[in-house]
Formats: sequence, structure tokens, C-alpha cells
Amino acid sequence: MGVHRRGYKVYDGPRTAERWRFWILSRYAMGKVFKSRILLIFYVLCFVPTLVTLAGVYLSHNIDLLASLFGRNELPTNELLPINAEVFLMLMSFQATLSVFVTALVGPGLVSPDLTNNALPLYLSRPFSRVEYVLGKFNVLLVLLFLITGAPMLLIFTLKSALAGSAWLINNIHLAFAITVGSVVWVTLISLISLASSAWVRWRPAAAGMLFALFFIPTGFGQMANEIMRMTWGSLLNAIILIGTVWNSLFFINDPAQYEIMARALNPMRRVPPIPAWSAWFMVAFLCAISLFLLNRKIRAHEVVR
Amino acid sequence: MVPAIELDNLSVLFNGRPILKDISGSFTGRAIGLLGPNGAGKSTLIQTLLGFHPPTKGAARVLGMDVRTQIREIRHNIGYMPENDSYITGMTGIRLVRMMAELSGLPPSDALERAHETLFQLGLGEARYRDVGTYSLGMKQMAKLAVAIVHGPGMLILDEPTNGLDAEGRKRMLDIIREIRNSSDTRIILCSHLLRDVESCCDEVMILKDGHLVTYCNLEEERRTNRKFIQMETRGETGTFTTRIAQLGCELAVNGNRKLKMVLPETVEVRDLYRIASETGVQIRRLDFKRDSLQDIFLKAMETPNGRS
Repeated sequence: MGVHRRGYKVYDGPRTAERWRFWILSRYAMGKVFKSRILLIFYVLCFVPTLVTLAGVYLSHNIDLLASLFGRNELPTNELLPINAEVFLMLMSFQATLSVFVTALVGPGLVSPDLTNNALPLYLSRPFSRVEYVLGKFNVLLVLLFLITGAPMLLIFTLKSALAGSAWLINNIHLAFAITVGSVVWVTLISLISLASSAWVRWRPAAAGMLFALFFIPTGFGQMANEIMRMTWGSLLNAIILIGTVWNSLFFINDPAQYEIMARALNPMRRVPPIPAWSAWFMVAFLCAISLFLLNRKIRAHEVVR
Repeated sequence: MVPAIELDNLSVLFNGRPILKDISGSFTGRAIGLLGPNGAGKSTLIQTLLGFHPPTKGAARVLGMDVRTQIREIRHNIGYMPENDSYITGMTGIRLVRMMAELSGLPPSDALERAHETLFQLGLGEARYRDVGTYSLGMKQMAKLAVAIVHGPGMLILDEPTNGLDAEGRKRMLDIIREIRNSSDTRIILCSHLLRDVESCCDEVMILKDGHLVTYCNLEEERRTNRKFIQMETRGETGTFTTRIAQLGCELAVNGNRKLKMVLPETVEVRDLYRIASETGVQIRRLDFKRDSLQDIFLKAMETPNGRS
């Protein structure tokens, strides 16, 4: 019988596993996200630096090919594009900057429309919890942002390992760990902040603006506090220094001397020591916890009228 | 038959304020109307049954499942149509309904098939590829109903389903609700301010007032009882007539010389009254059944002092 002729009947067919049901929300949200051409184009462009770097790595291990490309017979035999912690940090920072823009484009559209249009009862009256809702939405940002931050770095790392050999891989395996953990920490932080701002500021452009405001306004306050009180703790409010310190602690986990150099390079207050790594980790965890708390207050099936 | 809802001294506090106060009862009807004035606790009761509010005291069971411990199982078996506008922007009707079916646990292919079926059934077949945000109010109400029934739940909770609908839309919505009630084992909880909607769709009614359950009645039984309650106006000498009627076992009240009120026992039919009237030479000028409509039941419930029956 054609579907247009069938009447109502109770469903008694098979049901999917509950554990991974939050992926359904992610899948549908992802489909909605890529309806925006601007985002799609920008997202594709985010892979250009990685492709250039990958080409550079490949060519630096294929000097003959490079020489033939430039029509020269001789090229320096030393490595043209050294791949090390500093290069990964630089690339990660660049990709992280791009990820802020992707978050600003995607994040506000994830939660605020559901709150504006009172859609939460539709989700939460099903066998689908608030945690799964947040997880489903968070997953969208996690996947999208990891694909432009952590994944390209891991790809470069893999290519370099394949070209440079197992000795390089063994010596630098901690970089793969640092890339993975560092990008997951960054993506988690920015995604949660974005979801929380999307939940509290229902107007999408305002929510996107708020994300940038949350990065720049506390930075200004932190810098003021540093200058007035002659300290560096205000740097904890500076997103760049905060995540930079976390990444330094991961990338130079085996090299305390280099960590010190990098930490001092990040420190805006030359006269006082930079913020310790543990404080940056603590601040990241605190910001994630605050974001989750704010989400918990807003993601409810009903408005609480006080 | 498992009761649709069982409440056992259910109390719900909201910000320290009692909203539902010691409600108890077992509600077994196929379609139960939930009535009450604003602030009576109807929405809170619905939200408690859906697990949005935990009971502060007592227990509530939906289709035999406890709302505290089996809320996921309950939600598998419930379809909820909220009162307010609820939709997801940037999604077509078919995509929205399919996603909701998948979130209820249907495999993607079944979800897609049922989404098409449901939208056709509710008259949204032609509009299923349109963005839900562009739907008219009536279409949005139907889309909400589609979302509520797409996964074929065992119980349907409808909160003001005819809100904002014009006469035609309202009739269509009520027809569909009745069709669902009659064509399946699905139980329906219908919360509405419109007594006629409840009367036309429900077989049982629970009336809340000030957080208390003041009335719970079976509308069909009420109607059956009312059919046995007769008011009559006569002409002629009624002495013998009333005696013979009383001998049939009717409870009888004589109001003046002409007006009679009586409750017929199960074995006595109206035609017996006409026969006796004929035999005793009494003219029956008017004969009326008591019409205790839902409105009367509701108004009577509202007169109940302090919310207690």
C-alpha cells in the first residue's frame, strides 16, 4: 500500500542502540551546517596551509624533484622544511585562529535556534537526555574543529614519519601525543564556550559576537591587571597565552629548557615570571566547567519561571 | 488493561511552591481529558509524566512504568505534542519528522518511511519538503502532531492540540485524534481548555483545581447514567401513574402536580412510561433526558471548595 494511504499504527519494529543516539543529532546538525556556502568555502580554505606544508615536507625529502621543478642542478642538502615542535606549534596556532572563525560561524546556530523555537521539549520528551543533547551538539564542533586543527597536524606528522624513517618517528612520538591532546583541549574549550554563549544569547549574530568578545575583553582586563599589579596572573584571561602555555607544556614535555624559552616568549610581562603550566591547565578546566554549568542552566525541556 | 496513568500521593514542588498536591488515582481510559483552570497544575502533571520534573513526594507510573526509575522506557512509549510553537528552523518537514523518529530509536529507513506516512496522513504530504519555519500555524500544529506520533507511541500526550486553529483545522485535528484513538491501542491524554474538544475525543476526564484532583469521571458512564435520568411534564391525574411507575422500581420525585423527575432502573425503558401513561390516561407533554454536559461536570468541580471533592 502506498505510504499516502496508510493510517496510524503503533511501531513495533526494531530499535537502534541507545548508546550512540547522540550521533543522530550530530549528523543532522552537520548537514544543516554545510548548507552555508560561505562556511563551506571557508572550511575548505582552512586546509590550504596544511596542503602547502604537506607539499613542503614531501619536496624537502625529494630534493631531485624540487631541483627539477626550479630548473636548478643543485640545492642545499640540509632539510628545507624542518618539522619539529616549534613548527607544529606555529601551524597549530594558525589553524586554531581559523578554528575560532569556524566556531563563530557554526556554534551560534547549534543551540540558540532550538531555544528560540522551543524545540527542546521535542528532543527531551524522547529517550534522549540533556547530556546526550549537549554531546550531540558538542560533537559537531569537536569533529569540525579537530579536522582543521589536530587532524592536519597528525597528517603532516604521519607523512614526515613515513619520509624520515622510524628513527624520527621514535624520537618525536611525543609530538603526536601533544598534537592530539593539545588540539582536543583547545577544541573542547572553544566548543563549550561557544555552545554556552549560544544557549544564553539567542540572537545568532550576537552569540557569534559574544564569542569574540569573550576572547578579547577578558584579555584587556587581564593585561590591565598585570600592568597595575605587576604580576602575570592576568594572563590567565588571555586565551592566546592560556592555550599557548598548555600547548608548550605538551610539546616540550621532554625539554624543560625549551619550555622555559617558549613560556618566556609568550609572557607579556618581562619583569615577572610567566604563568605556570598547572595554572593554565586549571584555568582551561575551570572555563570548561563554567560553560557546562551555564549549559546545564539553559538546556531544559521547560522554562523555569521564578 | 494496564492503567494509562497511576498516581500515588503525587506531589510536586516547584521553587518551593506546591503545584501538585497529593494526587492519587488509577486512570484507565483510552482517551483521558485533562482539564482545569489556569494554574491548576495540568502542565506540571504532564511534565512530571514526561520526566521533566521529578516528583517531590509519592509516585507516578505511566503505562505501568515508574517515572523515577524507568523514564527512558516511558519516553520510548510516549509521543508528546507541546502546547507552544516547537520546531527546528532550517529543516524541512520530512527531515524534522525523520530525525525525531530516529531519536526515538527507529532505524533510518523505518524512520524515513514512517515520516512520509505520517505527513501524508496528517495532510502535510505536499508540504513535506518545505522548511517548517515557513508553515502556517495550522501546519505547524500538524507538524507537531507528526513529530509526536511518527514513532508509533503507545501513549500520546497532547497539550492544547487545537490551539490557534481555525474551525476547519480544529475539526481536522479532532478527527485525526479520534482516528488514532479508534484505530489503535494508543492511549491519549488530551489537555485542553476547550471542553467540547475533550468531550468529543475522550472517554474519561480528570479535572484538576489548585493542584488537587477534584473530579475523575467516565464520560461514557455519565452519559449512560444521564440517559436513565428523566424529567417529565404531564397533564391529567398523576396519582395512579406515579404509583405504577414507582412499582417498576423507579426513583421518583414529584415537583408540583405536573413535573416529575425519575431515575429509571436498567430494566425499564422509556416506552414503558408511555405505556403506563396511556393505560392511566395521563398525557406526557414533555419528556427530557438530563443533559449533564462536561461543562456542568467542570463547573460543578470548580465549585468544590478548597479543591477537594
